[in-house]
Amino acid sequence: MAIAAACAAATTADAQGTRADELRATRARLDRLTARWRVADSVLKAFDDSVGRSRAALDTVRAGNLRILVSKALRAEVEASARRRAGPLDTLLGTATARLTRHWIVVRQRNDSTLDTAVVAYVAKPGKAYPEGREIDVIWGPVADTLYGRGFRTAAMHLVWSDADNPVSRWLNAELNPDTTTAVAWTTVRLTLASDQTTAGHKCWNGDIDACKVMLRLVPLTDAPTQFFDSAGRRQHVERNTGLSDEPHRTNCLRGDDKACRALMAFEQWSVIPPNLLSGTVAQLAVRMGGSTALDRLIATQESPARALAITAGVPIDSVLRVWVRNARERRLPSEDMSAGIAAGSLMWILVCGVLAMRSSRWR
Amino acid sequence: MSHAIETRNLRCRVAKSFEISDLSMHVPHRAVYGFLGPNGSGKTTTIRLLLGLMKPTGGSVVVLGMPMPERHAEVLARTGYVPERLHLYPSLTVGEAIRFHRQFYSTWDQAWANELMKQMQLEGDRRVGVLSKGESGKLMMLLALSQRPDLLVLDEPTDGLDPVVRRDILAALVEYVTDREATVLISSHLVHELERICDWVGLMDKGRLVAEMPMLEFKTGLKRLRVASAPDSLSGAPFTLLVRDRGNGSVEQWLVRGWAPAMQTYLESVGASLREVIDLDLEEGFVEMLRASRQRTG
Amino acid sequence: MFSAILWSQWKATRALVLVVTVLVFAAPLFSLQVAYTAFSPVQFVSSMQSFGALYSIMAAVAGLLVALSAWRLDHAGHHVYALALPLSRARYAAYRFTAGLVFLLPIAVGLLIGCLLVAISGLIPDGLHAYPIALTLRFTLAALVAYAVFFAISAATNKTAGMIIGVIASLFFAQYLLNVFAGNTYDILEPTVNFIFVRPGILSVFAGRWMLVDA
Repeated sequence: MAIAAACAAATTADAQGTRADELRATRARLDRLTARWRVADSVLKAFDDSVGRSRAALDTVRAGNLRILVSKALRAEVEASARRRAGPLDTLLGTATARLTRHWIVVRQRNDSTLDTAVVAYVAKPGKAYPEGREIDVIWGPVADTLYGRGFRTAAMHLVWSDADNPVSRWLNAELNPDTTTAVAWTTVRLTLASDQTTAGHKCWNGDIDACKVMLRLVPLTDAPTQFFDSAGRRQHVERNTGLSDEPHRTNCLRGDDKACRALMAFEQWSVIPPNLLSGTVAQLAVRMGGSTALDRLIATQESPARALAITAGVPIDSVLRVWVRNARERRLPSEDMSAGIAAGSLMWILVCGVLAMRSSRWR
Repeated sequence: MSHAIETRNLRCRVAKSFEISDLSMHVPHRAVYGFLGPNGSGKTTTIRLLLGLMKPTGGSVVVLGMPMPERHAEVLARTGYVPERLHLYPSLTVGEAIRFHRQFYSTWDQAWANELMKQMQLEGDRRVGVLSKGESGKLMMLLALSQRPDLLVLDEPTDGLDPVVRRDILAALVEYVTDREATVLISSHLVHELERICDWVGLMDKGRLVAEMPMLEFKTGLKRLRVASAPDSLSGAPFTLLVRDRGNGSVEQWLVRGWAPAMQTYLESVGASLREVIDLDLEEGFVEMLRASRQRTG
Repeated sequence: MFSAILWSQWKATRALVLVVTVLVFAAPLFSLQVAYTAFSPVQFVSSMQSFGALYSIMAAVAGLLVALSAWRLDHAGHHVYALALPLSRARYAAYRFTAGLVFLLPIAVGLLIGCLLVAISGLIPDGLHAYPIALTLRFTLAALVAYAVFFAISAATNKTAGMIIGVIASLFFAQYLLNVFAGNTYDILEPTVNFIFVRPGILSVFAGRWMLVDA
């Protein structure tokens, strides 16, 4: 009984000791976190204090959803410029423009000795988008309306996108420009797809939507050598890439052993597949298709990239990709071929110059 | 058509300090008209105005009955022109220049061109740009004559050429004129050369036509007179008094035009006494006419 | 008459046409040689695009040289011979103009042959295509436009040519003065350039991408 009591006491003591250890460890961790929080909070307060001081030193301009802090000397022209740009920004960003009211844009002189002016965007809170801090230098240069125009537009896009912290923003891995995809961008898509050396790339170019999903990483990549290539494609890839030199897999692969090709490519899986440079154009297209609230939906949704794009566009993802492939095939920079208009204009000018030469005053 | 070339009050300002003014010129058909004048008198400019190479600022030009420069293409089709300086393309050979030139003239006579080539000793494969002054002068004359033109306009065609070449060119010209009865306008400051071939003469000085008359009248009608006791005024004189040089004594020297021996009675009728009549050769007459003109215009 | 003018102008221009033809023939082959070292089709196309400016410059230079050559014989003699010929002035200028247009064709053919050799070389990456006809057409039109412009300027009197150069120089000088006294607020050069290079501007054929190989 004594032994049992001693054991029970020892067990209780042990249990109490373990709990105490756990408590001490937890308390220590809490202390560490509290200390870190205090440091972060003081930095935040200092920052907010500086923003507050800036606000006190600078004039505030409100135009649409833009909130701008500007030095008194520049106030009039900045206000005029902001009022002109507010409407077009609303059109560009749609309902996402409302997010701008949580942020500030600052227009200030870069330093006292020059005439250079800087436009700076302050994000509301640091996040995944801008982990390095809250202040983003947007643009600087001599005072001019064009500087403000570019500055407000770029700052607005930075600030709107700073709210995005979701699977689709990680899939994009870059800030999205919601503007219409340029002819240069479509040409890049066209070139990339047309010249892609993977089987998935060829199939996507020919309209296979599932292959496009692989190209765009809209499906999980569980087996890249199989998802990107067929057996003939795998052999050609190994043949082209002398870096895949592991023997005897290489020799057997080149002889036609597909298992050897798969094994060889599996070693270098992530070097096998091409980089995903095309996601931006798909996202831009989805935003265009989805109307004025599309960008907001894209930023807010927590769905997978494929589902997010469908929600953004308001149509199934397959439809988005079909339009995307069609645009890539059809849209080109306008002046690659000789257009009838340019040809006709040139012939007209040739005729005009000929007539002018015949009527030269030297002859009359 | 009364004249091959006719101008009325022709005007053209060439430079700030030089202009062709009120030029009224008449070149009769089938005449060989010598266009005389010192360097810089406006002969070349006048020729360019006649052929439509320059546009006048006033007046009118009619060549072969057609107004210029409106109908210059038709006129030039019937006109052979030899300019003062070589105007042909220097990179062509003599043969190529002939082949090029003949394609513009339906009246081209290739047989005669070949004959002239032999006569003037021109080699067909020599480049025009390397020809001497004499050879290029002969080539230009060959081209002009081979067109078989109705009008030949020659601007100082023998200037700077040696006597042998001058002779060749003038011989070809005379032969053509005799054969074809063409009209010729030939400009020069070499008076003696024109004396032999021209039957009309026009004298140009400082942009004006000073005198225009048949060559015979120019050669015989100009005289220098030594006259004594002449009155100040000579009304009703049957001759044209161009210059009156009173000198220091009582004997005056006169330059007159249109003199005839019978006019001595007029002098006697006004109380003057004719001491001497001096004949002038063409060159002296040319110089005296210029002097008279300059004295009149001041 | 036209054959006489054509032949005389050919004599003055043929050496130049030969040299330019050889150069434009070699340009596509040279561009292929440079682009072939690219490590991807996109790089290949970029490399080809960088030669686009070369084609437009060659077209302008070809037009300029043939135009100057057209009047060279007459300029040397102060146009006395031309003015003394029995044909109307307009007709003479028209013959000269047409003769020069003809001489640009061998140059265009040289380019076409060079481009076709590139197209059939088998060295173009998969997924890309050669456009020899389109490039040659654009080059030909550009050379013809350049020729026509310089021919007209060359046919004008010295006074007119001086006025044109004066206008261009004045534009640059005016922009310089505006920059000095009014900052960068006013830009008169950009609208002028747009007027010339954007359709239907006179040099619009020179603008844009000149691509022998593209997607």
